[in-house]
Amino acid sequence: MYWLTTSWVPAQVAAQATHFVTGVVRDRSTNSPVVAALVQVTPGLRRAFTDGTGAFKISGLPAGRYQLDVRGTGYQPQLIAITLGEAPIATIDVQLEQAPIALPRVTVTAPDEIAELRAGPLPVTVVDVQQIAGRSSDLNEVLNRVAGVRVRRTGGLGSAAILSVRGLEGKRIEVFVDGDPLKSPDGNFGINDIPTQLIERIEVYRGIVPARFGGEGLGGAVNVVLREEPVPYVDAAGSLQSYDILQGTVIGKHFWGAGRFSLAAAVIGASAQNDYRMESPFEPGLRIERDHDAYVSLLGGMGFTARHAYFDKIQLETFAFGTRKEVQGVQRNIQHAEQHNAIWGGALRVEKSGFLVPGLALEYSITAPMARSRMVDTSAVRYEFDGSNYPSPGLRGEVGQYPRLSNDRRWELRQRFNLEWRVTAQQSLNFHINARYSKTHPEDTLANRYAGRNVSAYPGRLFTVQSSLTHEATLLGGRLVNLAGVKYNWFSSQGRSSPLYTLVQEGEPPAFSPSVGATGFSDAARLLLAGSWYLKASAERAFRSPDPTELFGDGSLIAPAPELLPERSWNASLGLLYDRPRAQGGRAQVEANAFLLRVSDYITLAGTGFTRGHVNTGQVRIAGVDLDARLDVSPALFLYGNGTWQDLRDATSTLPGTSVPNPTHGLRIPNAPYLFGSAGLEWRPRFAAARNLKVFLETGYTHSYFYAFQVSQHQARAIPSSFMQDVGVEQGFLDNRITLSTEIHNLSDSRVINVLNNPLPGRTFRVKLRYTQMRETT
Amino acid sequence: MRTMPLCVLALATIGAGCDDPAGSNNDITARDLVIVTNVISATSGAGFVSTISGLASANADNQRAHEIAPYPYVFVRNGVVMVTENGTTDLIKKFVPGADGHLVPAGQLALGAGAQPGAVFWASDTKAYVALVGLGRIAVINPQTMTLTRTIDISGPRFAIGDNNPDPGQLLLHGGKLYVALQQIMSGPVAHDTADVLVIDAAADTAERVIRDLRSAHAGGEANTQKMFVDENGDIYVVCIVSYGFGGSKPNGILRIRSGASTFDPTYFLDLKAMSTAAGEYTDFINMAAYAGNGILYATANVPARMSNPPDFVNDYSFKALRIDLYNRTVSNIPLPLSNGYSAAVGLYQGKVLFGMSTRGGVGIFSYDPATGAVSNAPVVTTQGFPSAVRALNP
Repeated sequence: MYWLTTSWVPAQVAAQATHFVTGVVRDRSTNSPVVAALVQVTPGLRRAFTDGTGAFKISGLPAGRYQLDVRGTGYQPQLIAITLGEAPIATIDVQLEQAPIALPRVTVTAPDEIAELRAGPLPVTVVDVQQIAGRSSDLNEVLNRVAGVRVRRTGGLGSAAILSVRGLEGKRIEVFVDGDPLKSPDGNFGINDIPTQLIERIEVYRGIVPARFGGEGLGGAVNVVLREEPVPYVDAAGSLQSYDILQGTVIGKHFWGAGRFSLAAAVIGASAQNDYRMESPFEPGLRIERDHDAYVSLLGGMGFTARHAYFDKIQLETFAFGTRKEVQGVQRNIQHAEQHNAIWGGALRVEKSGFLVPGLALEYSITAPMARSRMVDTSAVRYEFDGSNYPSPGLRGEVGQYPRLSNDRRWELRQRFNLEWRVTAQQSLNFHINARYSKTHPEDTLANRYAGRNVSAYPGRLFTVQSSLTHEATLLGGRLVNLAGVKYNWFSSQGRSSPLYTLVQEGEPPAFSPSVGATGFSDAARLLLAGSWYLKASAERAFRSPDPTELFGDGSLIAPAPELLPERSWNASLGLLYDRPRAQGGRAQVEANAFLLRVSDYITLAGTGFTRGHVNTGQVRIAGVDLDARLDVSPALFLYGNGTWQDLRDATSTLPGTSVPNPTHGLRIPNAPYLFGSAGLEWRPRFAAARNLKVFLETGYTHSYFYAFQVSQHQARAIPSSFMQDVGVEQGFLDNRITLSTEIHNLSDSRVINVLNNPLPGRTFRVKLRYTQMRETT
Repeated sequence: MRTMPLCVLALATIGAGCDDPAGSNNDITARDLVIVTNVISATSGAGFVSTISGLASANADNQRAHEIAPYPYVFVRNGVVMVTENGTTDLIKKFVPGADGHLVPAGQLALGAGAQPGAVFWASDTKAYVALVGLGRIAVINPQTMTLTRTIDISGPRFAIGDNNPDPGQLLLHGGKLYVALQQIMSGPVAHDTADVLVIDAAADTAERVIRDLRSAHAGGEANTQKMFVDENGDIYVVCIVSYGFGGSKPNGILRIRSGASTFDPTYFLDLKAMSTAAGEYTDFINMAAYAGNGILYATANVPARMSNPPDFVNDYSFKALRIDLYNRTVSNIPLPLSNGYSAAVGLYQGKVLFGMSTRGGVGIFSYDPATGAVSNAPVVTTQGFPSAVRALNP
């Protein structure tokens, strides 16, 4: 969980590189490093900031002549001519003269790494999170505006969110943070818990998952790239929203030892009542006030970084995250049940360029998170929605048949090892291996006592190894970029079944030790056709291994399935990208992709009544197109829009294990959105009276879809169409060190449901105040 | 496979004031069979209730069916179809045949948060009982107006074992008494080792006493099948399913309450294990059942030897069709293909016994002719989805 201090340049950017420029910027008079100096290469837009030691690195430059434009606050700019020839790396040390007048605060416009990612071989949308760090929108809302992506939520802040990319959702979409799988031991820490101030950008890979990530994504992945500030700073923000939602963030970083050492710390907290009113989906005419949906979270962490010892960078980190979430009843009025979760741990990370041989870069990390989850459901009474109460039918507990007072503990050990070797100026290799060992110890003696048997999941162990090898090549003078990768994932697990299913009534139930391995591969190519037109094509053989819950069940009512096979998919994507800088600044980008996925051995929860278990069953075929357009109309006006049509069909011709025709063969897969889009604008007035003002409008539409297979004229349950509008204003003060934003979410107060029976909040007012010493991105 | 297929009460109209609706729906006699099929996806599922034209069509789709929760409980009386949704909602839904014979909605009633209505039993056109499984109560409703008349609270230690909820399952009105099979669930499918039937005075709608027997356990089971019924002698038979085979020390079987008696008949216990073993293959619990009269019960039951361990929800076909002679205490196999746990329904229709089965060779309605012994090895009617109920609209 390297969320505090890390940075990582994606290998994909390097894939298009032919040369590097590295160096150190120092103060000519004191020889001390100049921190946060801007180094820009012209022609072109590539740039970098110096880190705490004054070092910089710019990659992806074709051979040729350039000028380095070096600027630092309080220094006179300096232009340096350089020529990049056969040597892949040029080292340039720069000495800046102090200037009598400080320069204005450095501003970055349209980071070109993002533009290059978009112009890479993979269908990817890159969200520049720094652009919205001043807003109060959360990341789920941000992702929901990306082509091909939907985030389905069950309620307000702290509620469950299901991420869907190109029709595949949940476990089939892996989320990474700086390339590491975001799998908190208890599954409680999610992407929405990372404050936007810490994020550089979010990369959403649609259809094809880069092999270098390894991971278990079947048809998409989200990679959160964290921001690394090379300068000391303090950033503090607080927001207030409707439904008594309060959020606050304080982040800071301090350097010493001529920039060789730094210490970062962060405290992030949230509190929400989520007390909106909704129509009961179960009882017509009943209005429910969600009065037991409070959520509190607190995240804290510290990170120490040392640079330029043997390793370029050594990081030590510690973190803790805790939540308390009330259980909101929808079918039943729940007033006491709560879920408590806590995660804590530490991490060590090292980086070394020129490891053993020139051109070889090493990254290694080891992380040890621990987690504890507690479900507290012991009430002796239950409540009607009119407030009256009656004794709990199960003697205690509001949620299920018996009370819960669980104490589930998990701990993990994760290691990540990455080697990147630049073989030539046009080729590089990346080897990645990620190993994870986790141990689970569930416990709920109260539930066991009331239930009369062990209803807790039995202790389990899981060992996974994910490895990948990626070859990156730039050919045809830079016009063709190709990424070829192969990955192999293996896992071994140990656990026990439930005695309920194994007919063993005494002693421990039988143990299972399934072990599964799977190989995947992919290739993606991008060809510069002419001018600003790019052709993208990619194909992938992907897989997802079953997880322990699927293999071992829940120890109670979900049976084990130790024979489960990995899910597999064939993915293909073909896209056309137009990407051109505009004369007046900014860019015009249009990307259209057609995609095809075929998933087999789909893992589903089968069975009826009390007895269920996971099975490999069926095939799903997904075909679709998405269109994504972005245009800087002028320096003051930015427009974007995207639309996605994805057709998910049941491709299972016969019922599993039989020759009986499948009655839903060819039908649209239900409970999955198939037509949706987003559009928005941002206006930054250029007149003096409105300096540092941003006005934005975001809209999103999702077409209605059925909850179950559409086989009847009287299909009763559907997720209704929704059209959402968010409007807001952000005003910067003191050279944008202070920003104040106000926002209205769901302006028209539309009734929005994207998970059956779970209405979402209506119109929401938000205010956010932020003070920052971070570099500004506009 | 320890699946618990959800089934239906095949003949809910034993005794209990069945007014003859003859002549009222002459134009719809063609659609005289109610079926429920279940169509399941990876992330959702639905049940569909509809009427079909008996066994006339080789295929039955759901085009005119009404979507309800998967594996609902269905109750039919005189052309009126009541549906409760297996605990997923707190509603009871009413359907009647429209002019073209297809069902149309005719009202619904919300029975309170967490009520989880299960079994329905008509006392008359204007009075019906509904078991509120989630609350441990019995609702008295007017099925014509779909309004709540009163509730009978049977929760608490007087009738419940181990907790406050005796888990009311099957209902049967006979001799002025409402018999309520109490499942006495401990957790999940596991019940306490006792067979309990609560007796309620149907005139006053007040609970009187529990009839208890310790020779078996888990009286009646879920609401969706006819596992408590009365024969021509006025004797009440109670099928005990002992936690659907999940543990429990008591044998599966059938108990009897003699007409007018206040205890179980100590001389009668039909031990299903012994009888089915004698018939060639041991079956543990009866899944669904339909009483055909003259002491003959048709049922589907689980064969443990055909289950995987742990269960294989794709390849386990462990439910077989049985003919149970209650008087002679014998079991015989009906040579139908085995079904998996997604179906295994039983119903009576025009002198035949219909089985809703999901087999390796087909999914739909299979038939058995008691007169000739003829069986269909393939579905007579292929259904779009797993059939969990097959019922005559006007039995």
